Amino acid sequence: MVRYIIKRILYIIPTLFIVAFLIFFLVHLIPGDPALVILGEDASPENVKVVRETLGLDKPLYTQFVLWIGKVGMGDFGRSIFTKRPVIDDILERFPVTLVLTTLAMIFSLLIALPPGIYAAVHHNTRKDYTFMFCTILGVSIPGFWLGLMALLFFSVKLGWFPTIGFVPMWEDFFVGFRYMVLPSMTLGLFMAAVVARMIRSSMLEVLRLEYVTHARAKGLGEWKVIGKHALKNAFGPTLTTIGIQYGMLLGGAVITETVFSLPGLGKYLVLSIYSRDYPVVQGCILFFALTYMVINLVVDILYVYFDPRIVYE
Amino acid sequence: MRSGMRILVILAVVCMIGFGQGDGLVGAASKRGGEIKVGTNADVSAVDPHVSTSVPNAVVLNHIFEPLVCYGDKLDFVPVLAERWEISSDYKTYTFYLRKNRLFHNGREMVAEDVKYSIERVMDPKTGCPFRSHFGKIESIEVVDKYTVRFHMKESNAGLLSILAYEHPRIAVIPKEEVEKQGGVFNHPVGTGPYAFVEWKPDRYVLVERFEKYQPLPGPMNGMGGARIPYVDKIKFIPIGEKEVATMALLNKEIDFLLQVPFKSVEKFRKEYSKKGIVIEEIPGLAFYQIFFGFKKPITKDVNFRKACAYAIDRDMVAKAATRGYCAVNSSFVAVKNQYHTPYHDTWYKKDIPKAKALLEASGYNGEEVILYTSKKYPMMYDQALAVQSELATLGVKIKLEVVDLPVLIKKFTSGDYQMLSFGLGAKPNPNLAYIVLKMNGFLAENPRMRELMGQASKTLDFETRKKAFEECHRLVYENVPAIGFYNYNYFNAYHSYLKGFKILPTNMPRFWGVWLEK
Repeated sequence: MVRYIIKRILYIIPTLFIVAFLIFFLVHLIPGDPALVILGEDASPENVKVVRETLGLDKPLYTQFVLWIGKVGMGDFGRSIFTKRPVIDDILERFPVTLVLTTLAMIFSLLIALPPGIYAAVHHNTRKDYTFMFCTILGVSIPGFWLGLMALLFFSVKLGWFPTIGFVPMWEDFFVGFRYMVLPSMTLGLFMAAVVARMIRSSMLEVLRLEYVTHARAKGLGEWKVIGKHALKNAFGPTLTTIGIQYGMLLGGAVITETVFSLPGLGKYLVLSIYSRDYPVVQGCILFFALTYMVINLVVDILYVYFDPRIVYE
Repeated sequence: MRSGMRILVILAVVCMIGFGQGDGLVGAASKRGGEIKVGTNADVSAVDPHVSTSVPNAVVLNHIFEPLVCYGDKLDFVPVLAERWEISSDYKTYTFYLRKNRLFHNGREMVAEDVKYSIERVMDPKTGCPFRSHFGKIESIEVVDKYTVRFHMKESNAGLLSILAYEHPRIAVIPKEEVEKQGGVFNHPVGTGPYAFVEWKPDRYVLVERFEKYQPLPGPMNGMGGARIPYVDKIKFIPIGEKEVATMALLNKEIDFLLQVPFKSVEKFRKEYSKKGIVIEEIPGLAFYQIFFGFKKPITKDVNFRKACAYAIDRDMVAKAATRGYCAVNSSFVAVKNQYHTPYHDTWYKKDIPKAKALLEASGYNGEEVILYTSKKYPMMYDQALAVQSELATLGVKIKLEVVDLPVLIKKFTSGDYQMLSFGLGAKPNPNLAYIVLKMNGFLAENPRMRELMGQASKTLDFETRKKAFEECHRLVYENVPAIGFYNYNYFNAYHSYLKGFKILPTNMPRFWGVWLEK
């Protein structure tokens, strides 16, 4: 197991290099030029030339790549073309925001997704199951943008329970920070809950049909013990994969939620940087996301062993 | 007894003077305090004034820095850090006499060396200042004495004052030692303005606080100049990307001031939110929106085609579609509220489909698709493109809308590589800075007379000479139709009625000095 983990960690290095290579060249293939974005309507050819030279964009692409990857190898992701701040500082400042948002959303989604998902599977093809299915379809269909605005309108403007804008880090003031995160994480969590609930329902349906469940019932075990102890643990494996993928995706871009709730998260930062062609930021963020995704996948793979002891890594 | 009376009389006079000015000692003291939270539509992209160009940056940095000279309410030049200036008769030498005792936020007095250092930093390619070429006409900067600085121009040039005023706060006077202390990056700006920088939390806020040693100039506020009295203790600029959310935040009193209310919300603010103590202010702006024609591409390089389009488009309809009517229809590059806008600038084509059809036929247009580039980044850009497409359809011109993101649109705009392009230009108090953009679509290269007129206007500050030159520029634009201008749109800002003393400017650059809270 330990050897497996070390091997997986070592695989991350060449994978990251390939990702870095692809990101760099793909980002530079996007039409548009940061020099023109900086200059706007003042972009005379002379001005553009000067700005491109200053930013090092006049050098051949492969030279730019070698210079960049060399710095990345030393832990230096460069500086933002616009803010002049070190990219790594910005990433490390914004990532915790997205991490907290996504984690709270995940906890919220699991809390509201697992019980009804299991309940619907147990009451398969009944009115309760159909109601559940309708609710989950609604959950995945409601646009996050609209839901966020409605939540703000009702809970913040009408009831005055939560702030509409702003952010206080929970690690600075836990309770105040939590108040700022309730609406965004609920909005984000609702979509995730719908996906997770559907997944747990279908996994449970499969497991509940297996012989060992019938055997457990025949032994005289109580229904909730059969479901809670025997069926759920086996059904949770595929759901864990879904949770892992969802979590990884959201860490890489809970953009809409971050935008609606004015949160200084990483997803919003990346999107704005793409619009302004801030190459070092785009490259740095995507590379960071790739790394995060790989780590989450590794964690999910390790957790599999707990949920399914038949899995052995060599 | 006599001396006691004298003292009383003196005290009474002092008090009368104080109260009479409105910002007297007692009045000013009662206005001090509190924090204003300003909702902006985007975060600042940088706090080093010499490398930042965006409007949100200027909104913040205007409070931290002061220019030598700025635009007043009537777009005239108003001295700020400079007390006065002298210009040689050949417009080759500008001498600025600086005010004394203007302190940087680090406590040091601003002197002529700082002006020289700052402008030279702007002109140094290593700084990466995007508007460096605007100062390309400066040959050298000479420090005459501690409070006198002289600019020597390479050739006769009357545009220095307008560049200094227009580019503020991008050419802010900064202290060299602070830049050196910060390793050249200057992410903790230090200026001479009424507010000092406290911190920038990216995507959260920029906080500035009153500079206690700031000495406001005498007299009333005048544009970005005049008296800058910092009443409130702190100003927090909060970026809120979504206007709906910003409106909710205003209603919830989480922000006190909302910059740029979208047109679609104006009626709601006026009818509904005004009952909740929210004031909405409107002012005719100086910014433009146009459709440009590319001079390098087939069909749009033909003047008959361009004129046909001008005859076919109902400008009022386009302006209404894009701004809901909150604008002044204007096809001139000189804004309606600009001092150089004369009735002649209202000359433009009236909708006349038979004439348009005749010109279209003369152009040799045979039903091919014409591509019109636009972007959804700014709703007006997209909405006017849709309206133009619909208007030209009545003429039988097939317009294909190509919607691209802003960097691509800017690339197209600056290269002139397009047939038609929907665009907007910021406020240009100096019309020469508006006409110069016609270089990009190829019009200036084809029209030596236009270049000559712009050259004439740039070599003098004589109002009549410049006015005549700009009128002729408009005539040439009218005759050649390199672009069809539609409107100067109005600005709307909303704020709570407890915020007093705010006055919107035609450049829509908000200033929060002279503003106080009456809660």
